[in-house]
Amino acid sequence: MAQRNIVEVQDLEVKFYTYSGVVEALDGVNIFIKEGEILGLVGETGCGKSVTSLSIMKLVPPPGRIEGGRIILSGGPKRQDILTMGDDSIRLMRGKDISMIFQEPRAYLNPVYTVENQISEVMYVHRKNELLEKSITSLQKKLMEKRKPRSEEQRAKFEKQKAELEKRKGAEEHKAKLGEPEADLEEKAAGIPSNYEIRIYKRMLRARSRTSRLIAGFFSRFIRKRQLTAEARKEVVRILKSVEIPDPERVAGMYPHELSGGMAQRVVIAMALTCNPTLLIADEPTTNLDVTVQAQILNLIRMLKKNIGSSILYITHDLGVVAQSCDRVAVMYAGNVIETADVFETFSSPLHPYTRALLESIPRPGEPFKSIPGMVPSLINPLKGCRFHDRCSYAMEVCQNVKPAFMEVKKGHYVSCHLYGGSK
Amino acid sequence: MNLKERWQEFKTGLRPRIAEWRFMLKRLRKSYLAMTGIAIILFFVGVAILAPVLAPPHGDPMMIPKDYDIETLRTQEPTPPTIRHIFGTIDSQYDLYYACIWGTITAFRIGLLVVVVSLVIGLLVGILAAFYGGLLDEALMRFTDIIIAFPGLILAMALVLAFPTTVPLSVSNVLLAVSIISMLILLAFKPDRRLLLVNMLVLIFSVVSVLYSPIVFDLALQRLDKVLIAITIVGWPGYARLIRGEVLRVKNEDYIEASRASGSTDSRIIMKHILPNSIYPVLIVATLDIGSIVLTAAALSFIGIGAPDGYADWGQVISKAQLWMNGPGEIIKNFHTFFIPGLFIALFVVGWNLLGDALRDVLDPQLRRR
Repeated sequence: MAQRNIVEVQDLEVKFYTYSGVVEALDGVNIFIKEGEILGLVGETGCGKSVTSLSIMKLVPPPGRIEGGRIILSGGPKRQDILTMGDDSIRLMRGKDISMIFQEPRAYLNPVYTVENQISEVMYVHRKNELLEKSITSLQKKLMEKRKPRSEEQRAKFEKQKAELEKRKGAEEHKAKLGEPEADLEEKAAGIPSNYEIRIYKRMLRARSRTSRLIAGFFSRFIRKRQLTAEARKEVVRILKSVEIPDPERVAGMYPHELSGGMAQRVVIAMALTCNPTLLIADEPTTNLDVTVQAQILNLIRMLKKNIGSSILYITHDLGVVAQSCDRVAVMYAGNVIETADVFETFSSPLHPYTRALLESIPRPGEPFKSIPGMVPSLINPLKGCRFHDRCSYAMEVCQNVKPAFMEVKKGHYVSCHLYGGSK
Repeated sequence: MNLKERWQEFKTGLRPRIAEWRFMLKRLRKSYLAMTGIAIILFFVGVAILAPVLAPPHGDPMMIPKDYDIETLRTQEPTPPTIRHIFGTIDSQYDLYYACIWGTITAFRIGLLVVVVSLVIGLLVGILAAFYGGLLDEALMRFTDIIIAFPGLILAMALVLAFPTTVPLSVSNVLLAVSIISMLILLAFKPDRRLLLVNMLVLIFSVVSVLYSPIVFDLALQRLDKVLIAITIVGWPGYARLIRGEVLRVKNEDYIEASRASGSTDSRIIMKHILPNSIYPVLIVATLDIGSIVLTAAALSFIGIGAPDGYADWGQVISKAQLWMNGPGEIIKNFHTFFIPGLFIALFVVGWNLLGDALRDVLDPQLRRR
């Protein structure tokens, strides 16, 4: 099956302007993520894994700046470069097309809100119109049932109205009609009931420009939207159920500090999956959990990938996790992606010296512990040429001066090293 | 849906809230100090509401009546408590009982009004400065520093003396002020261009029309109004600083980043995530301040630049007491003239302080759910 690339990161450069100097955090990172796969991003602490993921969201924290490169997202109908998009369109993309799971789940939940509040907030940002439509139809249905037909004639009329309402369920048709003011008159003519709450929802739906949305939002803030909250609650419970939380109705009403670590991580995953994103970035989601919970969360992520079909960028420094759950692996070192390949290929025939050394340094029982000599280089004054050359046992003359290119050596196996003709 | 069903639904919806309130009340009820504070405040609230019954006014209710019968005897000297004047009279034969009762209303008015207005200004400035940082933060916080640099009471005094008695108000003046403020808010929240353009046009229009428009009416500033404005100007920087610190703390929390990563707008992040996590300390300080602001106003009245002569205000009553304190004999004889209003002020301040402490225990989110 030919899979297209959901995200392509090309020659991404990020620099942090700090007091002690310019930190060259990312120096030409190249990653691509295919449709429906899990890409593992592996590397030591401080090699730029998190900065890469934040760049994809365009959320690099202030002293940092994206200096060059392209991040092309093709999840939607067209290919877009994230770095050239406007602030507003990128904000609408966050959480909807790309969402994120974090390392410390409990710190990423606001302590003053219940689980239900937090998940429904994401829904209100991205799926408000859908929820509004749903609540309008269900309110109308409720009102219809309240009306008791008395005579035969009335009953016939009632049946007709009911059929009308059923027909409206087709979301596309419904949306198109609601967008226009005539829809109101039409409904009135058909005798479809409307009450205060429905009218408010319609007004909120109709608000298209930012100004009118602001005004509608301001006035609707003071009115209790019972049906809307009820619909949101239904959705929240459904999503919580999909991340295998037992007793979702009860958990929805709990505060973050009442949740266990694994449970909190499930809630965060639920939050990220609210809008069925095309790309899910998981930034070390299992690091702070104990091993059994870790296994559960990993299984959950794999299962969700199958059900929803989104791609996952899985950031970790645990090679065991990578071997267990990823389809492909990208290895990072000091702000560079040095090797990208299939999981089996990476573990069976790694090409880059750093990847080899990394795999050899996995502790095995009965064997002496091996480690990579030397230290991770400072990124303020990074080494010229290949950034790994001072620790590399295969280092050559070229390595000190020329930065190796990132190229495909075998099919689907990319390496950046002079040993494999990187200097071409 | 009939009323009964609706009420039932309302009750089920409120149930968790009610449980929380009950929990808070239980905590409150356990502490004697908190209950004392609440009792004192409730006492003063009762006095303020029942003032027309407790001390029936003649003419302007806020002016203290004089007893002309005694004054005609050519004495200004305070008289000790009698049946006619329960608390006695003070200088110029003003009735002390009436002054104390109606002074409660003045105290509430000063305390609540000043705190609410300066809280709004302080919150707006502090949150905007902390959230957006950079040049805006620098500008706003240096401005608050300028105000904080002066000793509060002295600045308030200078402001009261410097204010004009009447402020010429015209439509375009008001328009100018409103459009400048809304412009600042709009710039901070980055709205769409159309709204900004409209605001800009209004601003330009009002700047031009200020030069030509006739004065519509003179807003007369009472002396007490001047005091209120002066204390507000002196008071808001404290809140701005406090909330700024809190927002800076909360701003770097991970859930703000998570909210941003899920596509929230800045205003949503501020209203939903930052404000609920940072407002409690400010609310507690504000409660404590209601008492201390009354003290400041009393001090201004004591100096003689606060409430006008004969106005029902505790500070002024005490300032009148000092006229008749020449030597220990007079101090003992006119003991009631400073002791009774002093007691009212002290009780009022202590009441708010105790309530503020109690709120700190109850509202603290870390302590609340334990």
